[in-house]
Amino acid sequence: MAAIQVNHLSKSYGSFQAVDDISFEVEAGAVFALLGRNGAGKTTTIELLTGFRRPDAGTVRVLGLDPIRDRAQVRGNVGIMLQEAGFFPDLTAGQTVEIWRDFTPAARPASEALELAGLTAKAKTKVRQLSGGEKRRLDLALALLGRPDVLFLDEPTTGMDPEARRDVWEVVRDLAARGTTVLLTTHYLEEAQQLATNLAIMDRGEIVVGGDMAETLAARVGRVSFELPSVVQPGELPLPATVRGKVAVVQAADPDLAAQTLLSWASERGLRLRGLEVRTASLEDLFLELAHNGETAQNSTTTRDARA
Amino acid sequence: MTPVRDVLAVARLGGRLFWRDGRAVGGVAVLGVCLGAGLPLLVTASLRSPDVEVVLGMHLGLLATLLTIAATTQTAVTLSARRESLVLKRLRASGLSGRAIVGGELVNIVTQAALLSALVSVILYTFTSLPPPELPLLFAACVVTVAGVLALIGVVFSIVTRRPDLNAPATIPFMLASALGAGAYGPFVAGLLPGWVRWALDLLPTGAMVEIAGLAYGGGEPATLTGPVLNLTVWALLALVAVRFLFRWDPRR
Repeated sequence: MAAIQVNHLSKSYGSFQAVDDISFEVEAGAVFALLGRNGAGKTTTIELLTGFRRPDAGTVRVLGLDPIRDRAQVRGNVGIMLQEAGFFPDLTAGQTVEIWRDFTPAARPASEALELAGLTAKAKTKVRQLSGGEKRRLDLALALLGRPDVLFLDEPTTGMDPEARRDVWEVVRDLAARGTTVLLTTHYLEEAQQLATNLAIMDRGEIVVGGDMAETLAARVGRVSFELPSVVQPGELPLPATVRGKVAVVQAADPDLAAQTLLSWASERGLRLRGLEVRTASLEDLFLELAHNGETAQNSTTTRDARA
Repeated sequence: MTPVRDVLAVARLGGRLFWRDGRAVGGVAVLGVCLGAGLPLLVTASLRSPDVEVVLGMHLGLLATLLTIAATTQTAVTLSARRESLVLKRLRASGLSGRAIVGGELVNIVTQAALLSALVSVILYTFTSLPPPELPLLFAACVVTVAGVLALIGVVFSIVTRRPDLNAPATIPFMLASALGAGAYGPFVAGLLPGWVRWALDLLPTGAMVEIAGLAYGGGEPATLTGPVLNLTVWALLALVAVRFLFRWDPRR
């Protein structure tokens, strides 16, 4: 059963179309990554899913409920980590969690929420003295307080150091393993690739790529790059390559096979391929490719408009 | 959780934040006591034969001023600060309903205003010739109700004032008009006002407060409460409609 269902959802602010007719589903227990550049519509989508905003068109169902109409029921079963939200600066982290327990039905003990978020050592520290990353952890502790069935994480690890980020990844994996559905947005593509089983990439309010993470990446080409030997012309290579400066890049559906072909070819000629790097398609490649395509499309539209 | 429990949880949070803030408590208490009790004490001490009616007039006028500051200004500033620091948004991300959040803040502020009014009144009963009200429950109900209506008006101020730093100054004209209408500047100043100005000022919630509290102190026919109760009801409804349709959870960007 789908924990989150989005059908033809649209939202605009004045003349700005923030979300434009998007549809997707997130299965119960899955981790779903919503990606895109700044202003792509991710946060608006989360705000629509959590009932903070009313859609202009389309429907949203979270655990089969309408987040606006059935707000109390939905909020009772979801945890929300907003991209931007304030704290009371003069309370300690422990007091903040303790107070939030008053607002949360069937809340975890404060110590458990703090431990999950890795904040036990900072329980007696005032919020105003916490670092940006520690505040995000406090945010996470509050989101986890009600043992939610669905967790919305809007850029959960922004400002965290690499170790803290990995700790949060562990928490998310653990929650997903226990059946919690997680929808996250992030600018760290490695994070999305590590955690998510499904993804949607948004651009200017639309979903431009979506589906299973592994399948989506498998459908993309990998790349082999190396320093082009000075005695070799690009046209002599056994595979088509683009050359930027000294580096030749070969794009291939099977980058391992392409690397073998290139190494055999170099060996026959007594050449060394310095700096050889073999990469399967990553989310970052896909993201950059889409961003590049988007910019090209936008530029051509602007040019057409200018000519008109 | 039940709505009442939610409201009380938010009120408890607001109270906890207020009482642990020594400067805020000190400021409100010092200002309140100086204004609400200090000024009548000073004037009474300077009069050769202080008339109870004069003291009562000053008490009610200054109580109206005090309630406007403690309820309207305090609500406008508190909600605006919570909105700007994105705390309202965070509270809304919890299981709390919007009504529970705003209602809880109002319960906390009305409680503070009522406690301050009680303190000021007791000081005056102790140190002046002013006797306690003949109908103390009516007086208490009047203070709480007027504080509630004034706090609701404070919510409206927090919505319509576009710049959060101007929230407190924006309530000053309302506070001065309330003080003037309630007789805080004394019977001589009130007597100088044109009739239509006095009539208009009496339409403020503090005008209703003076009428009801006057009845509580002097005794009288409950039938005379109809006008002031209607006045407070209209103000409360207008404010509730404005809050229902205009309230903002996010800061203006």
